[in-house]
Amino acid sequence: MQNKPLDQDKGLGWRLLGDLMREQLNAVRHKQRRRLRQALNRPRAAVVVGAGSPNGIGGAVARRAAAAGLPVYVAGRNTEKIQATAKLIGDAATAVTLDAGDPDSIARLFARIADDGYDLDLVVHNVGANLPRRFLDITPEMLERAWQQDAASGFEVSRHALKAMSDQGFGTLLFTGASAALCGKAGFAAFAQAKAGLRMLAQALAREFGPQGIHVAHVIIDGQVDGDRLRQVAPGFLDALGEEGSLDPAAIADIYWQVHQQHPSTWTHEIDLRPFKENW
Amino acid sequence: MTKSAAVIVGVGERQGIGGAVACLAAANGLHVFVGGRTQAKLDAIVSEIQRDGGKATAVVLDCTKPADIDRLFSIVDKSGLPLSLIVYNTGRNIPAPFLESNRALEDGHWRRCVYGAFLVSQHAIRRQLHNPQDTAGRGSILFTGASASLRGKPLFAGFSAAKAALRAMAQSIAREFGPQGIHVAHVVIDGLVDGAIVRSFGAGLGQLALGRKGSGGALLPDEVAKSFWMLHQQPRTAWTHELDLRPYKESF
Repeated sequence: MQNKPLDQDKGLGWRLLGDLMREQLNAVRHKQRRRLRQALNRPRAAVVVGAGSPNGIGGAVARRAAAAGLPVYVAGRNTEKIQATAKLIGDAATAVTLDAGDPDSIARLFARIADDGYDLDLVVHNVGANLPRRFLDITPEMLERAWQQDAASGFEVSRHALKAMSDQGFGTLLFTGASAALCGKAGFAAFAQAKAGLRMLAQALAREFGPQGIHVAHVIIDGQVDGDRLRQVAPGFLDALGEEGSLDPAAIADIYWQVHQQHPSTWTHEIDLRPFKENW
Repeated sequence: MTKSAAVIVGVGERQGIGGAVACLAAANGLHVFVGGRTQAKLDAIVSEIQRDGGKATAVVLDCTKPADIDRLFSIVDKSGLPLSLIVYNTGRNIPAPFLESNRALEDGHWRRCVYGAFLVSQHAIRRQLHNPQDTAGRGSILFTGASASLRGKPLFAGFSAAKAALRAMAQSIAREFGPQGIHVAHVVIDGLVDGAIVRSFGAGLGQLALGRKGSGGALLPDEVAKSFWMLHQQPRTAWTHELDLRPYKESF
């Protein structure tokens, strides 16, 4: 596939027509599968991709979903951290080690959930690392890694989640975004491009899958998160922001849950969250 | 007399934004280096420019290959001309329903729209920072965006993610290098371009779309090029970072 450029002009129109026809056929199949699937009435689970320690957005969302009675898949890169999170939650949680940059690893996660017999109630994509750097110091590899980790992983998670949700006829897919998704600041080119790409993916998916009953939303985190990651790296920085000057992961998780609970007649696609004294 | 150089990456047929910008820049006295995938298309543009008394050089390249971009800029360096204008104009809008899309397709969008722009920008900035600064700054870097840069619509998940990523990167570059005299701008093309790509889009879909827009309903490449040139001419005390262009009857 690499040698055969995908962007050659010939055959594009026909390919689109073919895709659209396949989509129509699949929609019919989805409808049939949906009926079968709903008859099965399988138990529902929540999935958090990019859950680190218990005190981070991913960990807190997993805890919130478990508190509401859902079995939770806690997937992340650091086995130690996700096991700590799973242990804290208890029997409802399953820790799955996953590398968001690796499509196979994401495919395995969703295959496993299907094998375990769960429908997907809530899927959260919470991946991203912000490393500020001057533009001329960014290497092509760094740019690519940022895209693969933060944005391409969003495409992969969406592909698996939406395939299942399309059969189910319900489900919520949430993305953790950042203020960088709205504004590319100096020094944040790699992070901003990936997060802006992810945001546009979320919008396209919301418009495409919303009418099927699938809620896709994008949460913009504008500020520092008072989580374990920053506590360990720069505790002084958090202290300097003062009391409630950084976002509390548990409070963020409550918002994720509220968005998930919204009635289909009143859906949020985008919500921004920042501490009351954040300068923005 | 040619005093400086322009690099236009993403040039195809003469009837396209890249081709139109190249011709306009050459008509205004720049030596234009046109980069694109197809030798024959580039040659046609170079010979038109030369016929009209301008200077142009064709460089066949794949914008996603670092080696090709390196080669492009080494050819520019050999001319000894300072680089005043860069236009990055690649990206192909290939619609696909999300569940029929695949990683290779999405990756291709990102490579054409963002990765190539990144490679070109770094080369350009490293050179432009050495240009003397005048009232127009040291030079311009212009990116072609799309309405998909601002709005993700069904069928366009991969394309709009890549275009939005390009927009964010352009902003970041503008904020970092604006104060150093490099004018970075992002042009949002909101509408159908009445160019070679759309006219020849397969299965008659392109012609159908143009027909439905009616007269004056699609952007004319030569008119779009004038806006690019206007951006390049702006004095540094009044710079545009983002400019949107659409036909008068486009709904938005």
